Amino acid sequence: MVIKERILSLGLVAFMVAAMLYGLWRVKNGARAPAIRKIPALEALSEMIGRATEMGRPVHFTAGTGRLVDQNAPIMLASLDVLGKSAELCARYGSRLLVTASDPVYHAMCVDAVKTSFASSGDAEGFRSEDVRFLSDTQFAYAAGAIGLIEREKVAANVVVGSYGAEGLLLAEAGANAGAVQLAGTINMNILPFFVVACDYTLLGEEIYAAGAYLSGDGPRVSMLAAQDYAKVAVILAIVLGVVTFSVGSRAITNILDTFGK
Amino acid sequence: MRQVYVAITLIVTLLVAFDGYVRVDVVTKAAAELKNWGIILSAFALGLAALGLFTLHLGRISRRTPEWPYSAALLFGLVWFAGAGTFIGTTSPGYVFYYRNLLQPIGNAVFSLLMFYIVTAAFRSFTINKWQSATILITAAFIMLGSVPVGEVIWKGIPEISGWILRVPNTAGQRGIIIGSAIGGVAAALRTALGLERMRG
Repeated sequence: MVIKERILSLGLVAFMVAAMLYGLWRVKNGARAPAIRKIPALEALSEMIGRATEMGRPVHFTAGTGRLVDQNAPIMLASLDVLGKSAELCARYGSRLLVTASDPVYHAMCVDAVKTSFASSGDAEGFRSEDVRFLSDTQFAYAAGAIGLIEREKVAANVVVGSYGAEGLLLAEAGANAGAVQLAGTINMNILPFFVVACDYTLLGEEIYAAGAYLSGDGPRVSMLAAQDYAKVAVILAIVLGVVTFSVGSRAITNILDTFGK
Repeated sequence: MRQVYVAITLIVTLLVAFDGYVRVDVVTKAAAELKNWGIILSAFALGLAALGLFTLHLGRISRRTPEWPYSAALLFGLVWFAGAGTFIGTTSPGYVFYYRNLLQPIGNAVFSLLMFYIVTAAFRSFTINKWQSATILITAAFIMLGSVPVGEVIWKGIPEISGWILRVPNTAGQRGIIIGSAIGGVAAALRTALGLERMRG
């Protein structure tokens, strides 16, 4: 029935579901949502778009070449929150927002996110469907199209948050060449160092998943972030316990991990 | 209506997720079927997106905007590959010729830009104006010298320091980010499955 090697993983997921529902229940019963530390990259978003508005140049958003039907789905969905906030700020400031997508399903969701944000900011007519573009589902064809757009339109703010392969640095450097202030974020460890050196602000791994709650300030969503922290504490405890027991010659933890957590 | 969407999302997520944890034929078959639906939906979305692309570039050509020749080239490629792939097949010589001699070399050319971009990104970040930049410069110098024979000739300790940087601080930092990202990903998936995220699409 249950695959033995995945019992630990299943246990961690069950623990997270319980922690999330508990956090949600607390907030709904009047408890205050936990405080979140400042994330400089997300704090800078408003300033970046404000600068682009003052310069009279557009803002560009890309989530890279990840797909919504593979393991990149969570990061692609999380990037939509950053897009939604960017669109809201663009609508409020009267700035033009260009969005390029590589996944057709994601493109449809981008259209909805931008349209909804413009409407909720009271500028439904400011939404231009031709500014949310599907370029190509091929990695370098997409990169070539996005680079061309960034250079031609001389974007002043480049938001690069999502799932990237080699095209990540191409997009970031195109933004730098255009003189854009750049906010980048990904969970791909091969690309993250490039973003750190090439961009002004970087979201590291899990910060992207926290972006939605952080930017919305929505109590229930913020409370659910605590569940992530509980899970992290559990993993850290397991690591510390494993190191200590292994150091004193016991293989108990490694045996448990080998049997139930491969 | 929202409850219906949430219920569908929850059922689909549970089925696909359970397929990773249990060995039950019904669940495996249902999950495989749902994954196929995902592929079919993607194909429809691709058709719609291509239509949007076609309309945008057709408009540019008709308005004779400054970039209209590029739009014409794009439309030619789009029509050619779609037509050739549909009517003469993706293994036919006509299709393969353009794929190998046009699409692949252009892709490789874009990929090769990376080398120049790595240099320009490194040049900017190696400008020592902050202690972080100095750390990156020193670390990169050790890693680069440690990866080539001349590093050992300069000083025997360079490959050892380079290896230590990669094995200890680099691995520790990467694992921290990977564990955080993995947990964040699971949490994001759970929030979506439970209908606690905003519905889009």
